[in-house]
Amino acid sequence: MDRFAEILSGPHLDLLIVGTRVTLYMAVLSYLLAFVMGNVLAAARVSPIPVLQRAAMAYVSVFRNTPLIVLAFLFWYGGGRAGWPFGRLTTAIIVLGLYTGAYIAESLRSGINAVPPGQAEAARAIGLPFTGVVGTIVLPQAIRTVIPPLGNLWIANLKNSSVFLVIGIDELTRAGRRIGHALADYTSAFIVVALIYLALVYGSAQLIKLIERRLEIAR
Amino acid sequence: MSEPLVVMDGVNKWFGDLHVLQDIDLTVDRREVVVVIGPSGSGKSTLCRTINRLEPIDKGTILIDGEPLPAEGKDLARLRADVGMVFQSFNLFAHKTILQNVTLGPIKVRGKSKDEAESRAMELLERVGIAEQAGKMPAQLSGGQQQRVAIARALAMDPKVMLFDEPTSALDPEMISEVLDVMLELAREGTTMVVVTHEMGFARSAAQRVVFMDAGRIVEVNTPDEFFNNPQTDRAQDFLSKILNH
Repeated sequence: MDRFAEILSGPHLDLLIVGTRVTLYMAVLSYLLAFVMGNVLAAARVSPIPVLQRAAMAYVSVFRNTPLIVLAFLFWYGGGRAGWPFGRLTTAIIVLGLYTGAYIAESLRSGINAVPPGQAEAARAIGLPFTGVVGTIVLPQAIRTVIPPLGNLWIANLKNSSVFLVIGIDELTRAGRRIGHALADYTSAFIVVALIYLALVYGSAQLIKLIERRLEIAR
Repeated sequence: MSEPLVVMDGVNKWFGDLHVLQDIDLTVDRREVVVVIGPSGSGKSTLCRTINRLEPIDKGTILIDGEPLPAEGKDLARLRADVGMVFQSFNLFAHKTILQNVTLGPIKVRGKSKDEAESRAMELLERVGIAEQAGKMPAQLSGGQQQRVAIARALAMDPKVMLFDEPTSALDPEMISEVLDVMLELAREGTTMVVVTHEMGFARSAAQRVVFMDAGRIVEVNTPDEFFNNPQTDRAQDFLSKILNH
């Protein structure tokens, strides 16, 4: 117990607080980027323009079939040589967002398939252009049907942020490693870190349930 | 003599090997009500859906108010705004309230202000008898009520012509008349209408002309009186004897 008290006070606690804050910051911003990417990609997939469909398909297969840690190394070290202009944290957020975006696109695509075709037809019939049909009628309904998978992706995204310790982001997992190293007790340090992740994920799962109930549509 | 509002000339369409529309020639004049009837699979719904290009055609031309139907894109969207459509399955936007269903087009497509669109929408909902339900979601309404909202939604665009694709076929029998009443009222006011329906009573009382289709062709075009009392073709006689002898 003394060990946990030690971890939860003084400079160790500061490390954990900063780490948690960075983890949440990364998770939220990358998920926002992923959500935008996912919507754009899903819209491209159902667009009548073959080039857009193929580009979206290529994007999804590249980002889903590459390990996140490889993408992290590729963008940070590889990108650094090729004139990639962003800093460490921004790079991490972009890479994570692009990666999760591919999964969100696939979820939304199954959501789009669940929207009755008559909805898009009625939208076209009142004269909405393609962007209006998809953006105003189809995607808002598709999103509502895939809130549980979108919630799972939020949780996966939050946990995946830990990968970026490999490019030196001071997020929660890296904080745990530093505390474990300092105290020569990785067990206690990572029990605390695991409990913090658990609290973050559990808290957001409750929030997702609330959003799901709020947005539910009857048919 | 004003030029006709809808002109279909030599229209052909295939679904794979199936020749669903064969050499369709049809004109609809301003303020005219044309009712299209025929057995299922005769192509009447497809015909209706080609008029706003929800179904593209393979051959022939369609003019709306003198303008040929453009290819998919901004021009087609603009033209569709002038052609109101009412579907068999209502297709109200499931995530929008009744009022939002009716104001969406005027705001997003016509660029009207929210206030202007809402006051006009309430007028239309009043007219179809749904004003008290304006704040509800579509799923909370009966089929007949939903279809009347769908009519109001189409009218809110001030269309030049209204297309009805079997508007009462998905309704419980006791709700059919509330929808037909609204349609009769529109016909009486001089709305240009193309109506695909199985409601022979509506055809008799509202149509200026009845178009009878079979196997992808227009077989007979006549006034309702002539068509129902004195059908010219064997196919029409056969069809009428089957549906009227009960």
